Amino acid sequence: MNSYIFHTENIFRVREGYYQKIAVPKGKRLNEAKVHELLLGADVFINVPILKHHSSSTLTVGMKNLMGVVWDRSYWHRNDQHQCIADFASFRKPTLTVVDAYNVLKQNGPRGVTAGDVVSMKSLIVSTDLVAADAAAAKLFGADPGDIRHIQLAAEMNLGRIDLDALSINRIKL
Amino acid sequence: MGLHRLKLFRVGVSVLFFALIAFLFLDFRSIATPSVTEGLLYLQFVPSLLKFVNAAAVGAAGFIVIVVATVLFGRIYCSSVCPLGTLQDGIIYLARKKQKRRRFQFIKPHNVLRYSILALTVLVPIAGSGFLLNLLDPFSTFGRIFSNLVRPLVLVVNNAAAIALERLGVHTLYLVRWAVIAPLSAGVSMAMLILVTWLAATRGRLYCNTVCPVGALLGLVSKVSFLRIGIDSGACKGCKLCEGVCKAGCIDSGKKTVDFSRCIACYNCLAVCSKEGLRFENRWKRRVLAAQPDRGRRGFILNSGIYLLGLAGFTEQTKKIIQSKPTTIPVCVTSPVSPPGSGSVMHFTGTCTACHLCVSACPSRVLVPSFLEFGFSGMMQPRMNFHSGHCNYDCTICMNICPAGAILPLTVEKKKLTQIGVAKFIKENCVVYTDNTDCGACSEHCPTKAVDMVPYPNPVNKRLKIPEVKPEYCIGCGGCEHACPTKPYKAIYVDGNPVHKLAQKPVVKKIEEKLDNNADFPF
Repeated sequence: MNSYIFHTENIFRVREGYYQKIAVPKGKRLNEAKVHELLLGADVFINVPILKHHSSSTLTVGMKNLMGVVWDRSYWHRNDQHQCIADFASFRKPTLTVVDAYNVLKQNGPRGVTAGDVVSMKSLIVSTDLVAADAAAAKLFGADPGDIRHIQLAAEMNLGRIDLDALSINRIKL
Repeated sequence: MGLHRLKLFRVGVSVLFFALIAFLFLDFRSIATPSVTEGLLYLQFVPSLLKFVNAAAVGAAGFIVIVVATVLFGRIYCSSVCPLGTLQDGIIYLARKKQKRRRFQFIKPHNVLRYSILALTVLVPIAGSGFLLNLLDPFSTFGRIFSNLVRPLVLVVNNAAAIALERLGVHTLYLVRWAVIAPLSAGVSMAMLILVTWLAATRGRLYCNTVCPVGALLGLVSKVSFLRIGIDSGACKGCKLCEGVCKAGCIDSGKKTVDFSRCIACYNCLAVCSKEGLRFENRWKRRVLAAQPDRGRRGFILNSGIYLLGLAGFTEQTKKIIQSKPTTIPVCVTSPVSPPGSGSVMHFTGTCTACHLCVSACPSRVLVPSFLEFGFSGMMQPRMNFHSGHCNYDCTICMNICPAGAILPLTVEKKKLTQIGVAKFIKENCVVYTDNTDCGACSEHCPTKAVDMVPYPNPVNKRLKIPEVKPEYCIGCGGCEHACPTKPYKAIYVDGNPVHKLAQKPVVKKIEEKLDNNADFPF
């Protein structure tokens, strides 16, 4: 079994040759993308984003994190990136999404200007539902998931649940 | 002993200098530290002179060391320190291997040509152009050849090998980004390489005694040197062996004279003479030549004075960048961008010799040889090209390796506040305006959040944000311009500051949020 953990910053095999063209049949703006072969060859796909503020997409959580496995990101920027982010979530659903919200960049994302931008939240969200994980993370961040357009769009595309009240959630404090 | 072994010593020193300096230009894995680079290039004549004069860097006195050495021993620079000299020696060696028994002959000095070129090189900066100096400085010529021609070849080999090894599961090598191709610089480098190769293969070190201004200048100095090579007419048997190995063509074995102003101190003659017919003569003791006024020397002193004045007082005016692509919303660049540490475009263009060491070393490939952006006389001097990259916020590599002092060292903290240009936003080109969709790639790359995203009321009533530039925080790194995805015209670009300024330190309101372990989950 091949299993790889994707964390966008840590993919070191970065060369266009490693990215293979795939179709995104359910995509509204994104109909095809070049995706890293490690993801395409993996049996199990665990997505481990960190939660942070982002000047382009409002927030980086699970779906936004997957922008890191495609080659031509500037296409997304030019072509309604929230829709592209939601579209790509329809390509392959992660087996598990683990949102690292231990230290959270609350402003000036995605790179931050000083350490004062970071807040220690010591939290972790684990879900098999990518959209639900993103929605919960948005709440944790202090935002309404419906205001983060790609989360709203993904929910409308039935890629996952945004209505957290209807879900069974284990809330664990240590 | 003694004199025979001098050649071997010279070969050793020159090969060492050549190999190390060549390595600096090919060092794509960034192994050499800035201090190593500085030490290695300390003695390079023109960069050191410019650094000393223009950057008031008293420590950069390598050229004085060379002048003193030349006053004592003649042009040892030309056969030991100068990488272009050693490159020619390599070509001569190979050419002579092919054409066996080829011998050099005494060549009449081309004094008018070499001193005219020297005078022009010295005088043209007074008219406001360092172009001729940049074109003819041997170190910079060497640098451009290696940076523009040899380095790409090395990268091809590395990348081909990396891909091949990768297939075998070996990851020792990795792929390196290509350099940006600058046709003008590559063309000039190729032309110089062809000229130097042709002259070296057919006429020895004629280049150094006709074209090279450093050679001509040191030649003038060596006319009054303490020691000179001369022929002992008593010991000399007239075998002409020395003339046959003299790459400079400065030994006239018939007349038993040596034109020491053209002697490049290769010591081949000393190595080949078995009769001790050649020797070092102490010229200061005999004072034969001192009886006549030395016109060349007077010219040198006069010219040096004019030269220094010219360098200190006059530099070119920056020309406006030429906008080549048709734009619906014209990108109005009023000044090209010179690298951080250069202080101003004027200082940069007046000091840079276009050796392209910074172009080779720049990890983000933002430094690219210019075409006409700095004007005609600034041709080939590197500029910040934000289409090919952007300046890394924490990086100070170029300023720590510049041998000419065109880019001067700044601390990382100072560099982060040095405003080399300011971002200008063209709303009408922006995706948010044209498509009513979010983008924010510019703000994402901005290290100081001088480009921030602000709410944008729009016709379709979406929650959109659009970039807003706060120029006081912008340092002109070009992250925004590089990341902007609009084609063919960017919606945000950096306009250069002719004189660099200080940006304000980004003020960040610290988030006051305490972790409350007893708080409820927000969902």
